[in-house]
Amino acid sequence: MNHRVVALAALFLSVPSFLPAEEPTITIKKQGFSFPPELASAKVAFIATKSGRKEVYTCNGDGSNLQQLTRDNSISVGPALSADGRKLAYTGYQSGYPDIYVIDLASGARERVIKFPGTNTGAAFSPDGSRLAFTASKDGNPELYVSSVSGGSATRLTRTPGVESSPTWSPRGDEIIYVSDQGGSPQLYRISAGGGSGSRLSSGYSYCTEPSWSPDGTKVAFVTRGGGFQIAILDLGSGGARVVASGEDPAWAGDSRHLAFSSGSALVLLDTATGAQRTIASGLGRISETTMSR
Amino acid sequence: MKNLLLLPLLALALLLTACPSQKAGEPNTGVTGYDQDRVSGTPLPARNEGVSFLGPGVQRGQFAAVQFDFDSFAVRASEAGKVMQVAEFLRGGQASLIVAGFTDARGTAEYNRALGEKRAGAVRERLIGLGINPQRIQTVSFGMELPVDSGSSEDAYARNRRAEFGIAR
Repeated sequence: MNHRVVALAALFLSVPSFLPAEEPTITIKKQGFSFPPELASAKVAFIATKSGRKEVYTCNGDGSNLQQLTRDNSISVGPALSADGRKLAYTGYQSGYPDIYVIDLASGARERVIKFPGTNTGAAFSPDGSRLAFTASKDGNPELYVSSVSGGSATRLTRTPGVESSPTWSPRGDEIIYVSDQGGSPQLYRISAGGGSGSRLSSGYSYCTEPSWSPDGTKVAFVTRGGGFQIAILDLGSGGARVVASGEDPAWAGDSRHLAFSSGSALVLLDTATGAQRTIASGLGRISETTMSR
Repeated sequence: MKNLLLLPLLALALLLTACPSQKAGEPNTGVTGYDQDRVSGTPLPARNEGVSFLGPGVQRGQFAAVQFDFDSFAVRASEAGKVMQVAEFLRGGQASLIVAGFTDARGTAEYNRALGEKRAGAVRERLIGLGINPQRIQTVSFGMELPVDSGSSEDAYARNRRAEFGIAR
């Protein structure tokens, strides 16, 4: 028998405390939710399927001012709002390939800014709005790159044999947390925005995707899997992580307390301090890939 | 009790010595271009704008899709013959190829888009290893979009984890 298999079996059978606890208890409080004024005026964007295609929609943080932003009649996914809520980047397949487009939300002007050969996706604005981090495969492997928000040349950040995706910027714009499966399963890693080597963030969960770095820099919301998808928060100071809701696509509000996320056909706002939740949009088909301005 | 405490240490020692040529935790990708802890892959050629996998000038379905295991981009030995058939075809002409990667619906969206690209890239590297000019092969990922089976059974998921071939003449 393969020695490596035997060793792995012995390790996991004999050290149960190494295994992450993935069966959390989630308490959902649907009452008592109040919107701080700055939250109600923040902008939220997401993907919905009401038209029969995946298109980008926007609304305010309290669910008001709901609008369908794109009518590409193609595949439009991966929206990301700039911190000031003035621009939105997304992945569109209009060319037949996934490229990254940026829309000026005031004028409606749209530009295809990242169009390298292969796949370009997962754009995230730097906090000052001047740069985009994204995944591209132009060099033969899906890796993370950073470019100007207007496109042009891109600096490659990662070099691994695995899959890199889903960058999220630190509040100062000097670091990026992202997802890599270089260790065999998708986990969170942290790297300088100038490149270098990524270091793994230990969350205790075997599946970690869709990180969102809080504006105060102290924590990261991400998605894990235990039955269905769940949203967890990793405290970067203590290293402790806890599940806070069932859903996907967490996005921090500017107060680093509220999270927007999707759950089936609902766009939900969660107060992480109290556990209170409120659905702010529904009836649009399946909702996914939430992003929120500060 | 002492034996129980020694067991994990023994297991760790076995792990460190069992596969000296492969780093612990490293997936066996079967991808060429691997250079110690760096992988550059083979850079993609410039796009021929207007020619895309779903476009009218590309013939899809001529070759069987390569299937993948869950959350894996390794080309299984059982799928290698499908790649060889495509290589044989390409050797006989000048057509270019677009390899499109897909996933099932069980991962999150953005990770699946990257995983789909990795699957397409793994097939492309196989073709390059079989002597096909890299400049003839483009890749694209659709992630979990465009499933061939909209069901939620294990069989449906397995059918959706695939790389398809599009021939651009």
